Amino acid sequence: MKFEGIFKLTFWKAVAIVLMATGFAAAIERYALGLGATTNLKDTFPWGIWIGFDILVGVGLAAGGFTIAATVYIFGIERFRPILRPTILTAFLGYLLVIAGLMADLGRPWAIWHAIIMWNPHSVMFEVAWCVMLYTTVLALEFSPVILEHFKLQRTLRVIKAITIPLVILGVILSTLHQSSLGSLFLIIPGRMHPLWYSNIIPFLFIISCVAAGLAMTIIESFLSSRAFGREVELPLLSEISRVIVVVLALYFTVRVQDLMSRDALKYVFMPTYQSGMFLVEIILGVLLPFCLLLSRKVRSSKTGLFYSAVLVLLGFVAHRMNTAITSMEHWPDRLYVPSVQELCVTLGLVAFGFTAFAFVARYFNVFGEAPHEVDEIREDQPAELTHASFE
Amino acid sequence: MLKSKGLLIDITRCVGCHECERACAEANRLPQEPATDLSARRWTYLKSYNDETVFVRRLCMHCNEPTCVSACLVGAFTKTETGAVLYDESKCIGCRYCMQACPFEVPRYEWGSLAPKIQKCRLCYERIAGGGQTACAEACPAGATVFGNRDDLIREARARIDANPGGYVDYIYGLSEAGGTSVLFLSAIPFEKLGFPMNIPKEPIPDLSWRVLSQVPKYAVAAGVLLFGINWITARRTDVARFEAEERRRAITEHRER
Amino acid sequence: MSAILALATIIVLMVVGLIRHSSHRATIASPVIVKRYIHPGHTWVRETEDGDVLVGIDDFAQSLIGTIDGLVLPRLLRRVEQGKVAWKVRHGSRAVPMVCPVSGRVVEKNGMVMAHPALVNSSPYGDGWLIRVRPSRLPAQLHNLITGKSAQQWLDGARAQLARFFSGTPALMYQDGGVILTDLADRCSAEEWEKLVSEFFLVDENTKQD
Repeated sequence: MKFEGIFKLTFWKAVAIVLMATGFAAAIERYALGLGATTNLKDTFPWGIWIGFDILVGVGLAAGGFTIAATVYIFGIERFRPILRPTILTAFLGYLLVIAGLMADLGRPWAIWHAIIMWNPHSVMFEVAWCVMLYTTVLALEFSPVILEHFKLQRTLRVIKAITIPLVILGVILSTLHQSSLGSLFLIIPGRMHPLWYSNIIPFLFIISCVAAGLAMTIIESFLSSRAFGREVELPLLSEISRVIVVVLALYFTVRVQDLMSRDALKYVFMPTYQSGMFLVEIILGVLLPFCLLLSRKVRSSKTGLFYSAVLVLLGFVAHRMNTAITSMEHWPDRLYVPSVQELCVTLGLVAFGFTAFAFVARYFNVFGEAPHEVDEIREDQPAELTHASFE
Repeated sequence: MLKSKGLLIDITRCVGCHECERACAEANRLPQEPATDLSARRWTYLKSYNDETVFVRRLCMHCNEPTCVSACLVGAFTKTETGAVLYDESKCIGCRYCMQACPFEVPRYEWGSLAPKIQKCRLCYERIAGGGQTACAEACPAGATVFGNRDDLIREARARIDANPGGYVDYIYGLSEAGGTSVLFLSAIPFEKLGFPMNIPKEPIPDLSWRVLSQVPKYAVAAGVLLFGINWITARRTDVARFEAEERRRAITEHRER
Repeated sequence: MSAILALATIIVLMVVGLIRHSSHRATIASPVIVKRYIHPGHTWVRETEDGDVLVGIDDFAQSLIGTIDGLVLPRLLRRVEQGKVAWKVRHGSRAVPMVCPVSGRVVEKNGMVMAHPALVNSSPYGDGWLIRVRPSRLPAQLHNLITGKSAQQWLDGARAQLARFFSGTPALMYQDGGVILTDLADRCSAEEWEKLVSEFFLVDENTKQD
């Protein structure tokens, strides 16, 4: 393995190092002094950004993993294979970061293994815990061929390849369950959440929105890595993905509005409150604007247009998760939650670590290219492109 | 077999002497210190309203079907036969979902500790199991907090309202909140003016998530079957595509050779 | 409150990235970073991992021609020859024939570019590639092409050459002697354009195929 260039300091590397260092320091402080001294969590606000951002957003962005894996392996749409590995890597790193965030947030992290032997199947948190454990394992296995190829472990590789399809199917089931169960966590809090976000279909809303966000993430990551590694962007593929995003956003918007109407909560939308403001930001900035942008063919076939639309989808998704977990439980002005410096540092440090790990693996392992003996498989999609292009 | 016990707290009778707070701290070996709300070191708190003329006790409601019991992933909470909802720190992993889930916002956390525990009223479990009553009910000089079987307390509350319809709001708080609680309240002033959450479902709250959770195995099996099926169909299509690709490639090569 | 904070953080990072990216754009668009071979007719070749090559036109050509609104690409499976005209690029009423940098057989046309020809202008070395060719004599032909640093120097040279070409036409010159490249095609006369094409894109009677 050649690690050339690993010590060359670039702007973003410097930013990442600073963020990781402060995050690490803040994490140490949290373990040394406890949650009360280092966070702004309190009895009336027990969950903060470590749950609202690190976990809800982290898991949601990993949704690209199951969507693309299902597209390629289950639906047999082979032309998406070039972006399969990077998306699986994103998902895997996302889940590792979720676990890291969880270790910071849990009051008694050394007892986390209790989840394995002490069962309470009536708890949504029980489902969440098992999905995290199982799906992280599945993602590790799905990504393992990259590592195994690198070290030429042919026998193990063959075993993994043989179980690919069951693995992917298990991954899809676990991932959808996990996404929805994160929404179900909030089903049990009807009284305390603002009616703009509490709904009995919240698990369903979580699944729809994570598909849009996961796909937006594949677009963003494709652009960032093309810039970082001088690769070409798979523009036709991403343009196709953006059409799917349009449909998903439309579905999400319809379901969301119908839900508000059926609960007679539409009246809260235009009230002059903090919550309705955040709701409008979430829906207009994060759903309607990217939807309109991506409807235009010009935006879909331009790099910058795609990229910024995807960023908007991502912003909308982050807003939805944070609003569900935090904004909906805030009351202006007596019950507000602003994260502490340490909470912010840990979160930013984790995100920086995720980007760094992605860059490292992508640079030194074969993430973007397909393996040599798989070349035959990639070629399968070429006839489709040939016929597609021959309309002269 | 013990009958489920409970407390009836008649706000009209409370004189605001804070004896319940003192007795609770003493019985549970908590520090006697001023507080502004429930906390890890204060399991019941007497809050005053209307210029210190009305006093309302805050404490764990000990629901019949507690949200915390269903929410905790490791089952650290149990509803005991006395009616008390108890917490077992040896299981807890510290996720605070119980605090988030509780409709009455009762469980409190030891934020300052490095091995934080959840703290809340235990409805004097050991005293009741030993045949006694709760420390707060025993200490109350005005009879505002009375201890008894939940069934008897409901009858008693009903009787008090019927005997003095003008003196009470015709509502027993806790009779049906969250499917019923072991702690019941009577008041002369509407409950919403005394900080009681009134939007709590009148059914057991765990049902809200169980409706979804109970579908999970069915979904997993159905999704598995569906996905394998789709894969079986598309795998055949991929074979065909591979064959055609092979044909086309051969055509290109032949064309070039000619 | 923290929802606002999260959104603000992401937006700030995006803006920083945008500012940094725009100041670096020039180097990123350079053909030298990924190994490309430039043909003196202002077209390029890039090898792909499966042995085929991608073919496109260079930055100089796209800016000289202006916004591209149409492409006439060779048919699939057709032979193309190094140094012979293989496709035409349209800008308004003018069609510019261009020579192919390698010999081989066309195995794919870039569908994205056919639907959006202006992609050639925005990304001449990336998504604006035109055809995928299965080359017949690649190793030998690569010797006729320019790559690496000398490719950059040669492109700079072409710009200087363009300046000399128009030195008699002050209307098209900047004060410092550079040529106003934008919409050049619209501004020079028909004969001038004919001469320009033959001089820079190496198109004459000999190179016209069939």
